[in-house]
Amino acid sequence: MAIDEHKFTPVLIGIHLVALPIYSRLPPYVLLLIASFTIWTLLIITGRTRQPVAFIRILLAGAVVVSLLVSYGTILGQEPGTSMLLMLSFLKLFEMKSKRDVLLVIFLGYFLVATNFFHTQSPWIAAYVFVVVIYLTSLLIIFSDRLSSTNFKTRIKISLRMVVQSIPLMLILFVLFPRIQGPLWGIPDDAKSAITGVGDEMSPGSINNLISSGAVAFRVMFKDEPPEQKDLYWRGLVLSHYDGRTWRRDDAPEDLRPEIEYVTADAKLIEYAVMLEPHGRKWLYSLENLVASPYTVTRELQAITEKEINNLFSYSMISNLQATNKALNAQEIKKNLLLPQGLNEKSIALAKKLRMAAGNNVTYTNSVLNYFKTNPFFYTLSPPLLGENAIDDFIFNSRQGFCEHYSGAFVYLMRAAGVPARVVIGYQGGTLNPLDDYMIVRQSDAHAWAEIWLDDRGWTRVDPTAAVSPSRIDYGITNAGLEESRLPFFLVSNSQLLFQLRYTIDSLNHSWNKWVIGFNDKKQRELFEMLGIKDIDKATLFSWMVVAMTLSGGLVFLWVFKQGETKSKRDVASYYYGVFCRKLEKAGLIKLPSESADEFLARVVQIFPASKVKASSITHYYQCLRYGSDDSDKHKKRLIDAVKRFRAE
Amino acid sequence: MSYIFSLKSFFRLPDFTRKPVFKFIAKRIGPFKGTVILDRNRVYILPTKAGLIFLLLLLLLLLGSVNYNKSLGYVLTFILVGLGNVIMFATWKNLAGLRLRAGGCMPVFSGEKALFAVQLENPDAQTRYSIAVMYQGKEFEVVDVPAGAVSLAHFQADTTRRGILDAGRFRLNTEFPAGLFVAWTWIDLSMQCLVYPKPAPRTEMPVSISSEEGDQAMQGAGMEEYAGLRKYQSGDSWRRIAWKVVARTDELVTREYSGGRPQLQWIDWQTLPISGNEARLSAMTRLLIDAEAAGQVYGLRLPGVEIEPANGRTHYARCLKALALYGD
Repeated sequence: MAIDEHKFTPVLIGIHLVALPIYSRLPPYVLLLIASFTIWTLLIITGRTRQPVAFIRILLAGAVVVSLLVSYGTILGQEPGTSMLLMLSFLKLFEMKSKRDVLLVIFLGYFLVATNFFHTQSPWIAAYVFVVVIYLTSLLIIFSDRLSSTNFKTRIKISLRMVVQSIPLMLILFVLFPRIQGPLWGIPDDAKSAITGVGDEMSPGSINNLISSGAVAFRVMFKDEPPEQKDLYWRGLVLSHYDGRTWRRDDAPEDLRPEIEYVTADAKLIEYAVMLEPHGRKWLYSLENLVASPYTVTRELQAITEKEINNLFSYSMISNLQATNKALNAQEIKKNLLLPQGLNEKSIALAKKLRMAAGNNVTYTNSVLNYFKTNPFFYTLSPPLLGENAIDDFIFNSRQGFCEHYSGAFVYLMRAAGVPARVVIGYQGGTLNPLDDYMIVRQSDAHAWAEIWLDDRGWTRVDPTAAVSPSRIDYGITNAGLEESRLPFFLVSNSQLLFQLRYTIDSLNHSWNKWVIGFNDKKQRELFEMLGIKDIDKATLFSWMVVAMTLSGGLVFLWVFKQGETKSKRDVASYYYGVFCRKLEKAGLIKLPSESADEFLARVVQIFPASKVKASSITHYYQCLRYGSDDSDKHKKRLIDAVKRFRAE
Repeated sequence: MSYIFSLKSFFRLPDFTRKPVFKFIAKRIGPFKGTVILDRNRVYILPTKAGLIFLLLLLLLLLGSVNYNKSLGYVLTFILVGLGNVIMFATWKNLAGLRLRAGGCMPVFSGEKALFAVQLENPDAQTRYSIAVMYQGKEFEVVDVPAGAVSLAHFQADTTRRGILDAGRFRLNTEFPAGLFVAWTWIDLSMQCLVYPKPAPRTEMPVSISSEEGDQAMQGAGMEEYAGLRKYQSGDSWRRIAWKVVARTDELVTREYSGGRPQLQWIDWQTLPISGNEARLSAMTRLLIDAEAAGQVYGLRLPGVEIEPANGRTHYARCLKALALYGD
């Protein structure tokens, strides 16, 4: 069955609606192709040109593949795959001949709109996808409306109604569908391309790029009072290896048997639950001195997961801030004293000089911190570039830097004097949401600090940035003493209203994360435990799901079936007159469509003389309501009463 | 999926073991007299090819959601599952509850197409869109039935012999609102069409008759003079309606003739020199048509039937009906 070309326009709009959130991520060649396909389709619709022949279409498909290869270097993977499907749906417009072609494009639209969830699962994108689904469904209506008698408004109305009616089943499935953990097949490498966060190494610029990002890194709920701001060191990764430019993790296979010793065993424990935004890495953030973690903990007290975290991830941990990690073996001593050969001679000389003067490691540490404090070091987000001897350059020349410079230089000086030391990266601080009971840690809280080995204390945290800008640690990044214009908009304190708004929106996001995005098999189990059902297994869940689906299917069926019969106020008369006619129909008397109410009444009286009075009054009320000016409720009541009591006799 | 379960209950297969098939068919398809309400038992539904592709889409989306563990992926998948379910109900609802009545059927000559009309009444407050009428595997018309209204849908049947033609069962089909499911019903509303004998071609008419009776007819016609127009009365020959005037004024007007004495003609089974009953009936039909066209007064004699001479539409139809039903 051929389709009118004017019906292409809504489909074209549909594809663009689907693609709208994707556009910002598409490479220029792909955008160029999409723009030209759109113009071409418009020319076809307006009758200025015809659908291209098969040969041209094959050429265009070739152009699509080439543009993908030029832009991505491959046509496989999630981003190129999405672009490919998108361009294919545009190409499909060129060869749309039958209804099935169109339906295919619409189905492709349903599929493409889901690829947005690779990048964000925010409530906004959910709302947008909801609108797109309604629009795409209205396209289905266009192509099954054979006489083209529906208009845009009617179609949207039908579509909206149907989508709303599908919500009950969706809810049931969402809650009861057994969640399966983990990927069924390998996730393409680029599935995590858009994720931001602290990386697995520290080189100049890697952290201060994050400072300008307002994105949430994770949210934390404390069981009791949260610790003080100055104790909120969220450890991510420990970096022990330095090549003169970049701090990295040690490549050696991790010894996963923690030998944690605690100086104080019965100190106050801090219990907290973290909802980590996807960061595409395999580590979790925790406060210092982990006591309990559901995940593997290394000797360096890093919590590690088996899989990369590409989805919202929630976990609970317990830390003891008064304890100290006393795990150290010969290999670790060696590892944490290693320095690149032949670099930063001046710094090494300085370290040796200060160590000699200090006498012991604690005094030496203080004198290094003092060195940072008394010399004109500045805390700045835009430090100058450093030369080959980066540490020398920083300590003796530029003296401007950020936490990564201070922690790096500090660890270097420590190692140079024979004190085992390492860099820790993660986040420092966090803001409590005053409207809800949780803490927000943003990318802008990214931080780097140092840990040194002291024989009597074990691994001890030292934050050299605090020596330069103490308020950074005590009050957070906003109070670090930076010029305000350098800070991103969201960090600049502003009016009370905006402040309120910001936290309200974050509260919403938090609940959304907790109940929608973070709904996994664990949450599912928790939910049923809350309802008093312990240890529900997948088979039980599945059978419940089937039962609930059948029940809701029945209810939705009634809903769909009854909706045509809704008695709007205006139609009460027709509705009850219809009931009257149906009663007579059962008795064998059928009102012809051509018959007026009066003519029908005459026949009724003829066949059922005993019902004369009742039938006459029903006809009278009906006519009054329908054709008279008298639309009173009294009449309606009488009509309804009379119809209900009517029996054909 | 819920709708597969539900499908079973909608798509009722005949229970061959317990009931004779014809009883099953008769209960659901008819033939019926009067109004038939399309209830649960009569509306069947199955996914279309597009519906199966939609199912495939749902599976892909579900697999993707599981693999990438995207909660909103699940939400989208499940809302589309729900949508499929609702669309199934809506498609079914587009037919179910419809009230059907046989419409009229104008008699035709054998060999012509019989046009049957079906009245579709929608008792609900919602329009039912795009209902197609199919007959003998062919689709004839697509109609909308607005809320509370009655629409007419037509289908055509070939006629091969005179007599009463039983339309038998026809099919109503709808894919609205999404094209993912097709709902249909088979129904027999006992619709009948009167089929007149096929008129014999003029060239095959016996010469004696065409010259003798034909001359008379021509004389009759020639002697009439046009006398003016009057309002159409039931029974007037359609050939005498002044169509040009009708087109201008929208009123049926008949041309009146005067002066001529209408010729009397008996169309008689006995006097026709033709062998074979059907051929004889065909020839008589031809004579009837020509006589009516010429505005003659004619009577009809069949073995056992005699229709007194008269003219006009009613008489013409009565004579043709007698020919059509001769021997039944």
